[in-house]
Amino acid sequence: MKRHLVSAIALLAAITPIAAEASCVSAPAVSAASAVPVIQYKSTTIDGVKVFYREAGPKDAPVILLLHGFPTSSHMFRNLIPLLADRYRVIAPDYPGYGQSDAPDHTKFAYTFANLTNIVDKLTEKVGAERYSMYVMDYGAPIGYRLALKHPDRIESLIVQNGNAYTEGLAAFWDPIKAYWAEKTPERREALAGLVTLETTKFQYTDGMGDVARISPDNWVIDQALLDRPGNKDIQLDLLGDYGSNVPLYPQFQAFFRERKPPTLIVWGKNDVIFPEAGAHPYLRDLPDAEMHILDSGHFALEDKLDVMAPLIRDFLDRKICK
Amino acid sequence: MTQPVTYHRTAQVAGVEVFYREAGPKGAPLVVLLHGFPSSSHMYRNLIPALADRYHVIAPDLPGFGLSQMPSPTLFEYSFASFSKVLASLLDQLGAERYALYVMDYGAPTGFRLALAHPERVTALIVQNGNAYDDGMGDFWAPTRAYWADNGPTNRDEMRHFLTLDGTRFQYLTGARDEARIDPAAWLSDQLFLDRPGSAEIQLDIIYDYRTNVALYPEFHTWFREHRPPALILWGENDPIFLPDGARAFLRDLPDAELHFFDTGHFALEEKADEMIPVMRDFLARNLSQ
Repeated sequence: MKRHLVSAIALLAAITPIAAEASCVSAPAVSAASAVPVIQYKSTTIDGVKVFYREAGPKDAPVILLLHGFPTSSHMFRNLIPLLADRYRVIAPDYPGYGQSDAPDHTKFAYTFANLTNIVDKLTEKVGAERYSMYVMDYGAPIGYRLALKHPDRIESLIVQNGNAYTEGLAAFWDPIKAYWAEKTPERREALAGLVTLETTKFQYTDGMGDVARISPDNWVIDQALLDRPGNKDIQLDLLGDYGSNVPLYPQFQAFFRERKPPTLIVWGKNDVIFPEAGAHPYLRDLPDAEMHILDSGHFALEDKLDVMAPLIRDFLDRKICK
Repeated sequence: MTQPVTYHRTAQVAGVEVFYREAGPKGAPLVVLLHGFPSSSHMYRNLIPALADRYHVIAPDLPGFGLSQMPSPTLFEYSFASFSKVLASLLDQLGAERYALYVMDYGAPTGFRLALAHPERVTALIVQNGNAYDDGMGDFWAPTRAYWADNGPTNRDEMRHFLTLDGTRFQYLTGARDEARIDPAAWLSDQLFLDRPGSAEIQLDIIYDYRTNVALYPEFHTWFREHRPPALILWGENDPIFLPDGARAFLRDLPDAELHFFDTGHFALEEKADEMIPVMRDFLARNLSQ
């Protein structure tokens, strides 16, 4: 009898699916207001560069990788993270040159999208994130999509917010930047200098927003202080120049979408002059099942419309990842 | 599951532009959050949404701090008496008739002075590493007391290290148990404002004026005893600036005060908000009515 029991148990173990490495806690019984998530602010050294990242959530929960845009850092996700951290393991790095990460001189570190991707890739491996969903915004889109090309099996879902993968998404704002891509002269480089000024930084946060009082000045105060560091202008101009290397990859990004069909949520501030609404709709060609929400907001939509976006993001993840 | 929206506004108050964060239903009980040195309402950035589902929350930046204007000292008196008046005018302007006060560090003497001026308006007190008793001030204060006794250049210069990045980091990290729980943006943001031209001399003037708060301690105690507002004392017990005895001392004049210590330092909210917020919400729910 005992031998049969042992065999039965062995059989059961063999046919029961191996538990996924990431496991979901059941939907929380307590509301977000009464359980305050703890965010951790950590750094680790990758390729000799200190990389700062915010981390929150259960260690064995599905990973959501939040990839920030220019000219900010994981700071842009500070209010979204607590709203996901009860059920998801949220990781939000600062790329080298941004936020609290090191910003080595541009003669000592290659500020390219390939290299930033390399750093983020190594970070995901270092923190043991074998599979992840990605929230990509602005620069975070080419970085995230390059990651996807490298490791298509790792990408569980996409949240795309004002991040581009289609040539029709690069409108007039990009003309002087495209001119620099075409010919990397000192004049064409210097023509981009306005992009790292306070005026532009503040513009990125306030343009296209209905009620500017909803936007915290902390954003541009902190971002601009970091942009104003000696050497940071060169870092930013290098990356603006290298953004051109993302465009030839667009067909490959689109092939990834078509072939792997990751569940995708698009939340897009339609008034953004940098990545206008025209860059959102093309995704549906290659991701016909993508859920698209066009919001009356600007580039940094999270600052303006977190109250609308967080429930959309949460509902999407709860349906696609933690069912 | 989302969080309430925080609004970022300014008001002209007696010729000074005062910045404040505001959130929550306008008709709900009001909670006013008063920041400490060397910070601003930025220190309340995460507390505000955690209260604003049920409460109307206002968190101003004192003149010379954060995003409020920093007028020249020839045009504006940087003193706690002056801060309290500016605060009173701001609250009048915003139509605030009754309010609970969350006070930390500089916010404590500012808020207690406001309470002395308008005792009937204070509905409850939450005191977090904010002092009103000699018991709270230990050896850390010796150089400052020397400065109060003699504000010549030597003693004034002794205070300058409080204005450096190291000094600011000290305030955030000393007594904290896990540095990884504290967002470095907190002290880096504070330091940006400390580093503004003209800021250092203003801050040194304010440190000198702090002595006038100590002189008022007996009047604060009388107010506590006579008005007995519901009181919650939340204290980072490892704070070198305001010692645990400074927390316990409140119980002499507010015997019904609820006292909670947390294993952290001066800027307790940065590390222990997850423990402090439920305690605060419970206290407010029991003591603030619609």
